[in-house]
Amino acid sequence: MSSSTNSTITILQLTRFGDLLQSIWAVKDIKKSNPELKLNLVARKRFAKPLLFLLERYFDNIYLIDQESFKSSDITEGLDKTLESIDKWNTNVLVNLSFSKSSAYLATLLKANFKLGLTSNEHGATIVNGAWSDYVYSTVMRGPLNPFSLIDIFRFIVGVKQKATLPKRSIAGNQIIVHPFASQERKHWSSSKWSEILFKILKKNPEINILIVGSKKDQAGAEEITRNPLLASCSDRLNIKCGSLSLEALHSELENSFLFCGHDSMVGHMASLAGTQCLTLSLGSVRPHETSPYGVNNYILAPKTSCFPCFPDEKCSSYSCHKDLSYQIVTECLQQLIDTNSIDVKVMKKNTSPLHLSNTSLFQSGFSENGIYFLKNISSCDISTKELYNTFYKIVWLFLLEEIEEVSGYPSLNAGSVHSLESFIPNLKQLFELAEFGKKYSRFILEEVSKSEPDISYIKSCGVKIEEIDEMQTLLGKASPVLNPIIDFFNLKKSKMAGANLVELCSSSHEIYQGIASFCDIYYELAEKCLNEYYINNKKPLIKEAKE
Amino acid sequence: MEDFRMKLQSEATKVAQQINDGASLTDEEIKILFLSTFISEEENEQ
Repeated sequence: MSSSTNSTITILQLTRFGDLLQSIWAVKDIKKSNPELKLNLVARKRFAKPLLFLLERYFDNIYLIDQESFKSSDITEGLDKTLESIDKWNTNVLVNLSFSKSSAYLATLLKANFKLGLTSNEHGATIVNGAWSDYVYSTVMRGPLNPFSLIDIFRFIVGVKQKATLPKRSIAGNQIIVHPFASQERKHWSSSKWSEILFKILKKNPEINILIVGSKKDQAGAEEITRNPLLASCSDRLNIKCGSLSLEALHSELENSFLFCGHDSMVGHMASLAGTQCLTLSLGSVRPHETSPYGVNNYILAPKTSCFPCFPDEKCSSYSCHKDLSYQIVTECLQQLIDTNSIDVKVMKKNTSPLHLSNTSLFQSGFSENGIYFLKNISSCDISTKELYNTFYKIVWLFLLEEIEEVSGYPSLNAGSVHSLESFIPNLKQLFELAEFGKKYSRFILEEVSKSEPDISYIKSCGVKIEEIDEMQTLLGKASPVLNPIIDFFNLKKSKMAGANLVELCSSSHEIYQGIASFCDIYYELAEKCLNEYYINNKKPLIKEAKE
Repeated sequence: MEDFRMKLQSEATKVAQQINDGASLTDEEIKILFLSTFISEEENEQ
């Protein structure tokens, strides 16, 4: 096999603009340490074509898939031509970053020596390939307990080891770009709050111009914002370009602006690629840790509403999270970023009402020493219970899947998080014990099978015990949803268990239960150390040898 | 296009039946699955 064949990676990304931009972030530095590598992309034409000006900087070959090209009298003739063209790239590794059904089928049909991400089996069912793809399929797509940026997950899937290089921060001009829209109503405010913010910023900063950007369908919303009588006196410094800018022109506008403010959308990802500082308002189903603009010193405001972030298919008519994020806080953040390019929480506390601040979390983005993206909650020393569990999850996942030791101080606990953690630990111990039982019964079967005359009824009874253990794990996950990332991840592994005979299957099963036990063990140690630190600081008795 | 879609719909129904019957799918049948899901996703985007 030639060396060029050995170094060809094809990325399959059939999802939307934001995913394409995040895929760029994931692979943009890969050639620095692998200059011989050929990097290709297969993407959906409607999303990739407007982004070709960026994609062509990073990918050697790009194939745009379009339904028009599939129309022919022979139903698969068009697709055959597509497959033939892509297969000419002689792909060594095909990485499907799309996590959709259509992409799984396409990944199955394309030729490659090795495939990562979703494919399908001979019965049309989805197969997940690779540990980080397992993680996405079992954890990111199932619940809110994912501590990683999608870009870092994509980097792990592709195997990018070097730290991301960041674009030069844009400090040019006096323009702020605002994108007050998002793909779903639940993810963006109504126009009135934006009118208030724009009015206050323009009034206080006579040198500042604001450009509202969006798609054609956002034009009416932008006009509603600017129609507010408050803005009449400064309308000459307020421009709207909705649907009139190509994405290339938008990128250029972002490069010529020093600040971007908007809801979670592709514009934020483009701003981060352009090097523009971002203030993102996360609402509805947006998970800030997952999809915030990559880079350092970007800021994210998120409501502390108990149901935030919700799931996209959950019905909601009240949008409580929209009310919990106040325009006064956003205005204060923007003003500080205009003045100093950073946000000082002390100043913020002085300038805003505690009532507004108490309902909001303010995060600042950065990278750990290992180059892992993180959001630091700078509005409060006490992290929320969800953030606490995610902090532990991040450490354990990185250790188990990447052998990375993420150094981190003890998270600062409050009475609420201590109580939650104390209630959680018995459930974690129970999962550990179930895994130990799983190991034991898998071993019993292996021992029995190795005998000259194995007792079939005994093997069956051990098999029944293992089924009971799996059922109890599922019940435990329902009682303690924080455990679900562990249970779901290893359940997925169990569903793919390899083995041509009983011995191989039981060895795989033993390995999976060992994985659960190790996960629980590390998680327990982190939780125990963190609690003990709290008890020492608060002069309370330490956790005893609870594992016994 | 309508003709293409009608043919595809008909083929996709046959493949769905194959899946229900637990039969192994050929590459040609996976192609039908791809085309029908891809085109359906495209229509949802419009």
